[in-house]
Amino acid sequence: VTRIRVELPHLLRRLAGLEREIELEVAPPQTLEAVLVALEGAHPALQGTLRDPLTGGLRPLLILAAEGRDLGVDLKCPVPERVLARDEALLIIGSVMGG
Amino acid sequence: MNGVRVLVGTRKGAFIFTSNDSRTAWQVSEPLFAGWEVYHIKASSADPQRIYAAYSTAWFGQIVQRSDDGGATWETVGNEFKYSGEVGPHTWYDGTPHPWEFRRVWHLEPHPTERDTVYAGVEDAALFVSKDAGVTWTELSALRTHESAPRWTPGAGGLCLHTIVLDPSRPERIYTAISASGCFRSDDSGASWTPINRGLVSSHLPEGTAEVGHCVHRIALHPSRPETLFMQKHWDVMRSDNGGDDWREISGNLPTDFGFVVGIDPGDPERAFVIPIKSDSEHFPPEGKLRVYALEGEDTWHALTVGLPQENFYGNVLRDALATDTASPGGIYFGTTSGAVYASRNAGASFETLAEHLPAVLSVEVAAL
Repeated sequence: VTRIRVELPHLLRRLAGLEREIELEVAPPQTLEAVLVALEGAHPALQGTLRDPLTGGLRPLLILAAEGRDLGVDLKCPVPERVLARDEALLIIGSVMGG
Repeated sequence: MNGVRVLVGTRKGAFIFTSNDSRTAWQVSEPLFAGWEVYHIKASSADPQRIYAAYSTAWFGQIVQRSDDGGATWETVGNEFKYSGEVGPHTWYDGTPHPWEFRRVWHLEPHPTERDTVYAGVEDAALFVSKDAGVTWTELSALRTHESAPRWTPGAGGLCLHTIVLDPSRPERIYTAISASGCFRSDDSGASWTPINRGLVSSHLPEGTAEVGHCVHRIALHPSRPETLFMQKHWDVMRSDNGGDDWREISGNLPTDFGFVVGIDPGDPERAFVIPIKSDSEHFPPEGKLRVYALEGEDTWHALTVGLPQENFYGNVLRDALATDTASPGGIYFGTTSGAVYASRNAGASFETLAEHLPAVLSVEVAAL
């Protein structure tokens, strides 16, 4: 089990009563999906807010980012090294919509 | 009655207004669920301290929360609304088949006597029920799988089941309204459904009197006369005196028969209320005058204006944004897309302003304390 840092968007922080950055234990294999499953398990109020309940995929207006890049929508991808090393947090970002 | 709690859902959160029993002194809460679109927030009449809230965003999907202490604290409950069985298509705006997709909860309807039972109307149109106070939801799928369902088409707001009316005299009777499909009634707790749209005429339909396809905006029922229903359709105000089997138009002298809300005076089951809106493209009242119209006869309407803006008002009152209490004389409460909430404690003789600068109001409900 690896302990990582995750940064949450404002509305989800408020919903689950969490700080901007939280720590999370992720079981292997440490994929992006494993992070979201661990997040929902640790904080049940977040269930259904990150992944589409039907497809299990990342919700269309959310971005997972680390190491200065968008990690894409393939949740089977491994968690970036710098996140696993706790050098930085995995960012969950809501896409910008509107003007 | 020891007071009233008015529950207001808005585009950016919810607010709770609480008054004393004379409904003269009001307190307003801080924003609840700030930043979320609160389509509906409603208390259980079996337990007014129990409140359900349905809110969502395009980013994070649907949330349902429940409070058991009048809104002081909230608990997240179930947000999985899974259609039952194989899900076929409905008809898209352009006439092509389109898959049924859950988008959001529009309306929560707590059962009048069973404390833990609550219904949810959702988009794309379906009816769900929870028997455990919102923790888990089961679709009453006979509605969505009705033989007419492949012909259902969305209205401007989507294919939404926005109205659920429960008959207090017949617990197994449920009415629903869907935009833009029409009204449906179940007499067996949702096991089977009948379209009840006879008498409706809709100019947007190739066959104006079709069995389904009507854009019903809202229906209302008075508990003392449950066979009588009032309806605000896209255009036309309608009435049925046989549980929806037949409808007749009662638009009469209204300045326009387009609108969204319809309610009924708690003290007079013949006295319906509507708020006419200029047209389906101009979503504001005629002449910039915000007026509630009360039915005073078969199809004669009387304008209620005291305390309401009578110039330069260009907001709308959405379908779930008018409610009445159970006091005598009756209270009327409604909210506008321009962020105002108005209340009358004398059945509409006059209104006072509870708020003027909220986000756009999506829903208003009342709980008698």
